[in-house]
Amino acid sequence: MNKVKFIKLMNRELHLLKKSERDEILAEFEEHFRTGMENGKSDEEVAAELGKPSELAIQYKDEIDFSQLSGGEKAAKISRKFLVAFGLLLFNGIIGIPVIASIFSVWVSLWTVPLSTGVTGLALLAAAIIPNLPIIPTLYIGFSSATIAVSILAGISLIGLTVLMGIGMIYVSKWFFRLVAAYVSGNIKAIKGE
Amino acid sequence: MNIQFKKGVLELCVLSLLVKSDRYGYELANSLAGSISISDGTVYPILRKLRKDGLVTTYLQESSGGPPRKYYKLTKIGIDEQSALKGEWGDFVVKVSTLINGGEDDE
Repeated sequence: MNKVKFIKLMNRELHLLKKSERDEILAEFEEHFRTGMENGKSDEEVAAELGKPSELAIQYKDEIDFSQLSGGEKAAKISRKFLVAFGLLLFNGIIGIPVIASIFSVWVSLWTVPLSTGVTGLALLAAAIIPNLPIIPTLYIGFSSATIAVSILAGISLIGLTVLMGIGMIYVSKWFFRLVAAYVSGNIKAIKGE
Repeated sequence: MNIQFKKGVLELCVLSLLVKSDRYGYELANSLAGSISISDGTVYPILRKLRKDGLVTTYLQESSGGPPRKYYKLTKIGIDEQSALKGEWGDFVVKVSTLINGGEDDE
């Protein structure tokens, strides 16, 4: 075999070593080839004298870097991630998402409270200001000034109530969004496995 | 030569080759392989181990018309170790010779 093949084989045989170690070792052999050829030998001759790369490589076994064994560790890391992702998929599908979905529907229905209150308040005000407005059939307000006043008062207080409820709902929403965000990032962290 | 004999003594041989003077890889490989029938390449993993154990150091020296050459040199520990191993080897040879020649160890 020639020098190129020798070095290539040597490089492959030493794959368990750290790159820096491997490069140092190969440099020594390169120098050996250089000197041999300076002394008139062909690279084939030198390669033959050096011996088989596979046999030489075994003698470097003490250099193996067990702390970073690429094959086994990487495979273990990847299969771990798959397991976690699959487990999360099951958890999310069976528990996580249904729970979040029900919390979401509760949140949505909670909004209807300030919404309906506000609409009612507005309707009362409108009915009071615009005569004979058939907004709410059963709540038809007549011309009486007393009922108009009551209607206006009721309308204003309902709107006030709506504002308060709206503020409350904003806090609830913040809490809800934070919950979802935490849940999602919890998922991501689990997959990353830090 | 039997491979088991060789393995036990290669480090001693390499250390001994360096006692008189520093040498570069190719020189050592040829000297060693010339005496014991091993492949030239064997010397390099041995040198690496000796270096890791602190018995040998290396330095680069400019060579005429080419890249600098790596020279190997014994450290103080290396010199002591060579001397100690040489003594042990001598003892060992005597004892083994006695044994295989049918004799017993001194009582």
